[in-house]
Amino acid sequence: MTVEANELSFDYSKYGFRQEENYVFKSGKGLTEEVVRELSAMKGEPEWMLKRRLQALDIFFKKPTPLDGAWGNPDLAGLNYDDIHYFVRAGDKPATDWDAVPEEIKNTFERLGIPEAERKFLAGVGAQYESEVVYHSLREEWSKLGVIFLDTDTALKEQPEIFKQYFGTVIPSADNKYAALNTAVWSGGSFVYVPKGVHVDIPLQAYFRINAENMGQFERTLIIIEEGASAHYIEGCTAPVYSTNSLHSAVVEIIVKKGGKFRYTTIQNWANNIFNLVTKRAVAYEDASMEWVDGNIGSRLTMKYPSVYLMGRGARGEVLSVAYAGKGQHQDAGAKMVHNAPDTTSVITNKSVSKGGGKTTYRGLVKVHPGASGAKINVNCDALILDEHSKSDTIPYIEVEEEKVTLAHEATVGRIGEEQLFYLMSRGIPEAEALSMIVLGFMEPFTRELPMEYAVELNRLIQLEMEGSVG
Amino acid sequence: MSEFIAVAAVADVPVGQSIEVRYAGAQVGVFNVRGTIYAIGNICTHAYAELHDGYVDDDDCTVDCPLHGARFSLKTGHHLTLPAVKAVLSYQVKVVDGQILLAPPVE
Repeated sequence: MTVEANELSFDYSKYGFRQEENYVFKSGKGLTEEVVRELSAMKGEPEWMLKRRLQALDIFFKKPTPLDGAWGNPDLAGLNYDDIHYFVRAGDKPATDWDAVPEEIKNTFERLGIPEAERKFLAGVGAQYESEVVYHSLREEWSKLGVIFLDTDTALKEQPEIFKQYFGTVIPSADNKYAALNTAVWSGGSFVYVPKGVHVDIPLQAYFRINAENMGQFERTLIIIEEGASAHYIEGCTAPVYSTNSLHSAVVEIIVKKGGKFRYTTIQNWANNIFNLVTKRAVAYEDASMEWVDGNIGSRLTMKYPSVYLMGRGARGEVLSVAYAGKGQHQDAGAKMVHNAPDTTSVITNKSVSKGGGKTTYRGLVKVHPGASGAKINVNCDALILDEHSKSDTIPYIEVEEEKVTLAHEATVGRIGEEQLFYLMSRGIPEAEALSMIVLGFMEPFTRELPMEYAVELNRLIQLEMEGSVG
Repeated sequence: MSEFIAVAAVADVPVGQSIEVRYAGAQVGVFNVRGTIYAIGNICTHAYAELHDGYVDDDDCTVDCPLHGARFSLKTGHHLTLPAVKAVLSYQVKVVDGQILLAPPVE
């Protein structure tokens, strides 16, 4: 790969710009029952959803912030729940034509290249600005085949039965404090339904943008892949840089039925003042395949452990993730695989790079229930630490309650070897560029799984982060 | 041994309430939903938590585990949501002379 490090004029201002706040509605700071009731009423929701929200709010208040323990993190102490706007409505309802999207918002997404990408290589696009989706579309060829791709608020109205059947069944409100928070104040997100046997062979994409300061974004995504169907969904996330913190707390529930295949790709490039606390879980039935491809570049603190519950014979789960932590950042990311049927397989590949005082943590769980004989598990975590101020932790939990299981766990932690650098520099490559090449090579198993446009973008982001790392 | 054994008085479990009893050494949750008594294994199959402390949905006749929210049917003991991947036992219930009688689950 050719690396033109010196010619990069790229900077975060592509993502870090702010738009004027010109909102239809913005809730006051802090979370109360009134905020939840008002939000639900403004959306015109059915009674059962309001009841579910209020119950979840109660759970959120009761559950302590997980500052310690197996899945806790002391960095959460920096999050002030009373200093956040929980609902910000930027427009009236989702448009299906870019021209109908309000001007400032359209400008935002044009600067981020979304409409262009849609024209070129996507089957459908959703764009969320603050709390709600402002644009949504699906190419006609897919809707004719019965594929449903809607923002989650609209799905609740238009697909009430299927929505109620699956909502909260993969991630209940009480799963953890942030799943409860999301259930209480969820807004926006994507709803995808792919009917039996339909293969959506070009990606669906959603783009999540936070613009306002002290904003909380709580999108809720529900994806159902019927028997023998397949699809690929990509999400991207950015926000401007502010001096105070914002919160992004999503819940993503995925059901992949017998023989179905699904891949969920995330490129998270939040600004460094965002707490990114996300619960992502999929359930895969007989011979189904579920893959999480997860890239974490931005945020102040990310806590995210995409999971797959393997519930039918022959089901397969994979998590492939990279994390990059620079100054002031902590990427606490990992994966969970729960084997509950025979002949299931899972692969976890985690690559992390820390630099400039940043910290990366791999935290993962592999659980094999009795009866899941013939399960095969492969866990591989590699951490690269670029300087003396940075840190990396690996915390794998492994619980196996079945005898006939093959499990391999491999972890490496290292720094860039001086010989590697010297070798490249002896070929006339400047030091900064050589360093950048080594890091990109380290992450290559991840980037090669991305659609080309995203791989190029990710490489550029990493190069940007690497600038100034020598000398 | 499908003998019914008295475990509590109906008066101990008013409508909308739930208690824990012991049946043959096992912890059993007894629930009164709109006047009908249900009894299921009281320990969540995901992680240790007592279901009788959970949230009961009268309409769906289900209980949510108070710890991580796994939902179980009060009628059958089946697990209806993750993170539970196994059902709890469902006991046979009879009410005689104001007493709640339980017998083991039917195979």
